[in-house]
Amino acid sequence: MNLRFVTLNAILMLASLPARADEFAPKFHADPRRFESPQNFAVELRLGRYRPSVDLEPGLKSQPYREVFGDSASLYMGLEFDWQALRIPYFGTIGPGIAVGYMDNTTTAPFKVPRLDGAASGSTTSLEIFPAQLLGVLRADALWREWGIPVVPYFKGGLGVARWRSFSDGITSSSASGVAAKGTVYGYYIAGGAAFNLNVFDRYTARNFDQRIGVNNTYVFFEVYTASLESAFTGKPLYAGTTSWTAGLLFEF
Amino acid sequence: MTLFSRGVRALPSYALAVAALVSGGSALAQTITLPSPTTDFRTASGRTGTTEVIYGLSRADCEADLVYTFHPTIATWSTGEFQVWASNTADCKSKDARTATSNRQCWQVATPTPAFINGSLTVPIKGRDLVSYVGKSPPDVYTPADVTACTNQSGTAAVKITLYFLIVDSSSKEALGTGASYGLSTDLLAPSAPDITSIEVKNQALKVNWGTTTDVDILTYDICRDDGVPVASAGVIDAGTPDGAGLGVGGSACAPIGGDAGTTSTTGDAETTADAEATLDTGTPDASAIDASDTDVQVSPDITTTLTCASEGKGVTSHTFDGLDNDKVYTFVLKARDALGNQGDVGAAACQYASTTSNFFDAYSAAGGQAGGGFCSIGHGSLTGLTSIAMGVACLALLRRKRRS
Repeated sequence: MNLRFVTLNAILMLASLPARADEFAPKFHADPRRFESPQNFAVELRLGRYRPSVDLEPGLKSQPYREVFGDSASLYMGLEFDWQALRIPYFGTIGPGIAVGYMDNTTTAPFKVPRLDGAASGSTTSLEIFPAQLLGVLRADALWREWGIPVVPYFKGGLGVARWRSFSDGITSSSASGVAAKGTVYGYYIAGGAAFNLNVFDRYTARNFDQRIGVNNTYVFFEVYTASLESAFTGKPLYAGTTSWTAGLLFEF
Repeated sequence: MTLFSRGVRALPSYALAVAALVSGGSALAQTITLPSPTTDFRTASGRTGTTEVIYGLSRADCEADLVYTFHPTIATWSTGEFQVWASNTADCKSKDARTATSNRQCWQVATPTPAFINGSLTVPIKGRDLVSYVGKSPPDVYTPADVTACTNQSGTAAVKITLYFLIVDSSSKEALGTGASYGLSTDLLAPSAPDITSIEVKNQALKVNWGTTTDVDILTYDICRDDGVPVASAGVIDAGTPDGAGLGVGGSACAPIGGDAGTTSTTGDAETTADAEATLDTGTPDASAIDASDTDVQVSPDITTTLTCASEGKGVTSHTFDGLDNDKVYTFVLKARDALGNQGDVGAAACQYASTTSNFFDAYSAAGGQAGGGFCSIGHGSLTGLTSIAMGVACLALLRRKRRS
């Protein structure tokens, strides 16, 4: 080994030092997936409006829902859990999901015969619906993962079921013939929507959220859906489904 | 100054010191202890709460001439006289509190027992004696109280009386030894109930609302109703106003029930009330229950024995009576009860009747809707394939869970 060879090596090593230092620095703008925990599931917290399609039932002589509850819609609250079972490269995820929710509409129950003393009714009448869905969920998150565009379109479809009950002052109503005002209806559910990834606003916090809790992505979403619940397991169905919208937060983990 | 003269001048001091030592020695020797309260301490009150309240003196106790029986134990009683004193303001171990000619704050509540009996004594004390001189100038000797003592209270709040079991020197009137004391709650005045302010009309139910009150002496409210009379026989129906004549029905047709309606009662009032009840409540117009005693009593009799009553806590301002018949006029009265069980006068009675309401399912059924009947009831259905199987499994699971529970 002669002096010239050693000198050349030393120069090359010195020249390479800055590059090596750079390698040890955090790369916040590099591929974010490099720091991600595994992602297999998603949870949605859902809020929306819900106005059941009761009055659309064929054969009704009037619009009982509108007559009793007016034109207002009710608040819908729901929760959805998805298993992102399969990742399709350069497209997104697909997997099963299950969703449950609740809505109710309550109003004053009027007297059957108006009272001469003008007293107001203190009774209430309510319709509550517990919708649930068994779904297939397709989330096309390639826009976000491959190109950094924070929008994820998605589609859902599956079986919808709803348990309904009508009650007055907490007691289940019944017809003159003794039929209890409750039942279960089923049908199909389809939905489409878009989720906006909030990680873009603060990648550092998003990464901490992932490393500490395991949440890879946090989204806000907006979804339109149709729950066509027009069949009953027994007897006649109450059209408890609806076509409406829902919005909320989505967490992938 | 010589040593002798200094010694002479110091004699009074020595004498005082010796006297103090003698007195102190005597005090240590005579010790009074009281056993923990037991059920034979007094007749069971049925109350809950602190010991002071459970064994305390109510108006009814006082009128019934309740006698407390204490069993103090006295050790090495060799001198002095056993006495029992009471006060709501002062410590009766202090001689001044017992003997001062003006502003005396203690009064004697039991006659002296024979002296020099070591061991357990039986000391009966009348409840009336406990309260006879609250807020008054007591005499310097034991003076038995009569029933008029049972009205001796200015406010509705309970008064704590402390009993002092003492050995008192006959000549100096100083308390000797270690006395014992015991606190009791006394309450001779019942709280007043607020007025019923409104009654919400529901289907087979009426919700009675009342106002808040500043009376601190309230433990619970008793809200009571009668058995109701059909609207048709209750009189003219008008809008009514929440005045003393009652609410909602017939203006003055809402007669008070169960006691006198808000004024200090007398025997005559109560009987008049009973007559009024008889016109309203054909069920059990029990005059004897209403006019419980012919004494000048401000506390109303227990209406809960003749009416359907519910109890609500102090902070509650409404109660809903469910399961009523629609189109039947019910009369409601409200009473307040304090911790010692004193039940105040009823406020103004209020009347209302429940009415049938229509609900969503009525409207749906009237429109021709035929849904309903539950989840797993037998009915006509049309299902196919996997959906049928899934729903069947869910149904079976639900039925099984119901059976288990």
